[in-house]
Amino acid sequence: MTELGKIKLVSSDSQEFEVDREVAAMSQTIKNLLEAIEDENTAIPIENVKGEILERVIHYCEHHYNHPSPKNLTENENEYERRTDDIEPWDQTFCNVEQPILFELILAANYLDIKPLLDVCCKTVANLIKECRSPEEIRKRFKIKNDFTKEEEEEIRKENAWCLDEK
Amino acid sequence: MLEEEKPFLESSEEIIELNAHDIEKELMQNKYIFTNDLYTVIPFDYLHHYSCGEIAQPPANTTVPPTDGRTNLLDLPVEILLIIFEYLPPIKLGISNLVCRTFNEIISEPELWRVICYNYDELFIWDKVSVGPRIQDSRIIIGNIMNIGNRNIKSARIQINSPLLCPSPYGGLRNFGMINGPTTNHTIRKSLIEEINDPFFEIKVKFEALKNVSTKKQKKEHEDDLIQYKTLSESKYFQSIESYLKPPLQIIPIALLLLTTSYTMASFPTLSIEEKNFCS
Repeated sequence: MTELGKIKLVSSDSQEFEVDREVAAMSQTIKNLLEAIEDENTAIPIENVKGEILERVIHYCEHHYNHPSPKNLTENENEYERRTDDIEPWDQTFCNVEQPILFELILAANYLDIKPLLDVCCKTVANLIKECRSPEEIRKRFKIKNDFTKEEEEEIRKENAWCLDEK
Repeated sequence: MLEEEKPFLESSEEIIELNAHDIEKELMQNKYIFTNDLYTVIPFDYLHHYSCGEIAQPPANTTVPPTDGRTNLLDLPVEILLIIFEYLPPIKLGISNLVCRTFNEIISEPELWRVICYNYDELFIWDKVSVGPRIQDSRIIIGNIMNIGNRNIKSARIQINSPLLCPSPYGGLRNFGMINGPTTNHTIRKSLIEEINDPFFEIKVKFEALKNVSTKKQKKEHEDDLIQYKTLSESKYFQSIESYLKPPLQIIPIALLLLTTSYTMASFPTLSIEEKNFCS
């Protein structure tokens, strides 16, 4: 049995979390599920998200449920505008995690359809890329393998000479 | 009326070149360059620095933990990587292009450049070599900003027409949406994003280009277009196009007026309104 107004979420590794219904409904996916489920006491399986990540996601939702930011309310003023310098301090701390966790948060936010969380995580990754000054730095930082052939790389390097340091 | 219009670009042969050092100095002092020359040649990468209000970047943290089987950036689906790239300035996209195939593919996505050009809309390109017929579709130009750069950015450089380069509300520079096609010598005054979203943009540009068709050979090449042009030019729709495409020379008085006035951020909103009126 769950408390009144609470629901139970079950992560992919079978960890259970009790969450306020309203908080959980910040995830569009869960919200839709809740509308479809009749029995209030049914535990909702979140199959794609591990407990470790789900816990963080719930933490995020709880914080933002209790501290709604005025910005989110007036969102979508301009669908084309993109900036990365407007991450709230709490979110900055929240996103200051190891890369794998950050990426899993992104995947979870995407799966659970929590747009503000997805945005803030993507902005954080963008900022990490911005700090890199060369393709090598990006590869190193994100542990990406260079899968170009030598010829291809040479070709693209030529095409992109304008943004590469001449050394 | 058409004959009276003089090609905007040809009127000014002199090109002022600033070297990187000068630009950096200017940047340090003023945060932006404001020039009374119609054309200022700015290295592309410096342009980026303008737009972002950043000159030097701190060295990235390069400590790399050992690889393991945990989630990697490339494990993210393409649509998410696309969201991430939308937040990057053009120069960083250029760098990311070289990282790996996946990045390279995503960065060629035109949809991405639509967003980038909104946020960095001073990226108007005038390139002798490579633009050519591509002026007919701004989307292609956007997609090819990098390609344009690739051929000559360091040698030929991209030329940005700068009569109205001025501070943007986001702290960088904002060019009031002028595209110059070297082969067409036209100037279209409207912000790029509107143009991209304008279903008639292509045809408008085409018409503007057709005004410059003069030789017999050209006429033959564009015969169909010219017929279409003639038909449409008598229609009501075309009247609105005409008002949309202002004669380029009208820009100069405004530019000079602005240049002679001491220019402050405070005057920016006024300019914006003037611009709007001017375009409408």
